[in-house]
Amino acid sequence: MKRVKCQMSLRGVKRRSNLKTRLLPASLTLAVAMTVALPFLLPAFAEKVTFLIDDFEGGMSNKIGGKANTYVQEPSRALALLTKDKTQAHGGESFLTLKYDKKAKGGPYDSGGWCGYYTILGPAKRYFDATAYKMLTFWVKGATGEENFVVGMADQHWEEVGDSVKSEPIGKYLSVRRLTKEWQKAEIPLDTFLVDMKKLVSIAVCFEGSVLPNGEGKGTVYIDDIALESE
Amino acid sequence: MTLLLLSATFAEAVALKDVPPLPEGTVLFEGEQKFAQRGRIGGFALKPSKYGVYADRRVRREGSTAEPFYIRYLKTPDPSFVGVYIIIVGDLSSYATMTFWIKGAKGGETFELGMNDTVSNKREDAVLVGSIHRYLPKGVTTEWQEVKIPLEDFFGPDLIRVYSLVFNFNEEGTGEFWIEGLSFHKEPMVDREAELASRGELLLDDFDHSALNLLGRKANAYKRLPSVCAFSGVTEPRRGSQGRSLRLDWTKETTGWCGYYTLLNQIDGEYFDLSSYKEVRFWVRGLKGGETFEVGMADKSWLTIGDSVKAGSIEKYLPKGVTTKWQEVVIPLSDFGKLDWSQMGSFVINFPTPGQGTLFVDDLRFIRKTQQDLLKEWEEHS
Repeated sequence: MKRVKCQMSLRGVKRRSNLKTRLLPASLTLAVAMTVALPFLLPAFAEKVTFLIDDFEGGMSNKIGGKANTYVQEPSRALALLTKDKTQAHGGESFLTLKYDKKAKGGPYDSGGWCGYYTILGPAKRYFDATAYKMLTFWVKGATGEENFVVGMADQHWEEVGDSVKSEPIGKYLSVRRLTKEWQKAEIPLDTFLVDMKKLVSIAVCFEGSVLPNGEGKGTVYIDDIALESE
Repeated sequence: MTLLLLSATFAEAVALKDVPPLPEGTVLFEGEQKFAQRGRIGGFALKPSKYGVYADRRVRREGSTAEPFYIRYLKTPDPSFVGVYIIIVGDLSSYATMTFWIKGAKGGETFELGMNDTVSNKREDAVLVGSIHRYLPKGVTTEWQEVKIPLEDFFGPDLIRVYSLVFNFNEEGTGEFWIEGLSFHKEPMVDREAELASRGELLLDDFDHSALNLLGRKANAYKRLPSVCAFSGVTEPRRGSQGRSLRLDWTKETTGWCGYYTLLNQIDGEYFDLSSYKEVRFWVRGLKGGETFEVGMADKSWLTIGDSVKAGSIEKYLPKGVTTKWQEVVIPLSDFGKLDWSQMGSFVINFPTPGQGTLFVDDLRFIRKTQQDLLKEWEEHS
């Protein structure tokens, strides 16, 4: 219910802003009125809409009924575990532990195969409309801080070809520009991904050889509270 | 959690009367148009099976003002059939979950759920998704229970053009029950993965109530003449005090092949991810003892070529062989070799040895790996 309220607030503010732009030159009285009203409108304007995709408190499927698991092509490997540890979780009791072992050689095209983790944005045969959001966010830390990965996003087209559009290395979206052993919030603008936001299918954590030393590496990363945010 | 908000649209629930109509231009026969009043109830039967349905004011669920439907049935042996339906005539494509409340007169009433779109309705061929026991593991009781069905289970019907919801009485017997509060929700209200994780196993089939397994997938005998196999559900013998077991009667000649399969995948749809599972278990006994068979599994690739990888003969897992007593078979999935466990298609019982026999099978389950199993496996491969 709260989201509806917020959306109404946002729409309300937008309407009022347009009104202000149009009428300000013609009516000083209204401008004054708007100035007086603005402090009351600001709290509503500041309230952002956050859509929780997964907090890892349930099973391996996410909060919106989509499946989640690792994807692998040998010889690379990945393992996803739900770790229940209130003292270590970012919020709640559980978080996602992702172990990866990306190889540089072997497998198709001798490229070492691939590995990562995906979460589907809803039940099968349905697409997720993310046009109301501007940011993909999640909390992340590494076991050593030396880990690296990119984030992938797939719409209907990319799902059909079995791939995703990749972000820059994760450090770009963290405040200290690299993974550390402490929780940090990753904030990835959705326009990073040139995909159809009306028809999103999945989000992925991809341990790409291109962001690992010599195209290979092993490590463990921890992830919690994957969400979409309106600002 | 510090996160601010969840989607309000996901929290919406609408009654049947409020779901969007069929898209403009949807073709309905004259008879369908006359009958297609949303919320109307009806039935079908081939004598001597019969049914009764009507709105019943005498029974109310506490806290509800809705008038339940009363449904009564008598199902006699095949080929006689009987079922009832509720007319939907609407677009359900934007909803994730369907719910309704149910209460039996005596408890134990059973039926299969199905759906007709405006095409399948014309050929009177509803898509069935399995027994009510898929959604109420303890079955219908004399208390009101809410049934939550993911609409994605109705794989096949065009959810944009839904004509009716079908209750098919596939088991012989009589029953009376009430349903009310049919609603549709944008929110996914069933987390199967979490349920499986908490149970630690997937019960693929207990063979108790439907020819479809408990994933709602098809199961059947396969044969190439002159070899043949037939399957049926029987109450004797069975494991436990209720339900049925699977009976397989086969004759394997020197040519041809025969056996039984149960699907893990949706036909033309999703394959099942068994990568979190470590072994398959089931119970077996023979009519005479000494019956032999092999167990196979097929992933997407093997299913495409119509075959399966066999773990080996049953004597490998039951050193004394099949007897006339129930024995549990435990097969590590690793015995099936390198399958794509994230895209699994079927479980197979194959009769490779010339001869004939009768076999009973019950409670087919897949056991999940524990976190310790997963970590051990990870370390062993490092």
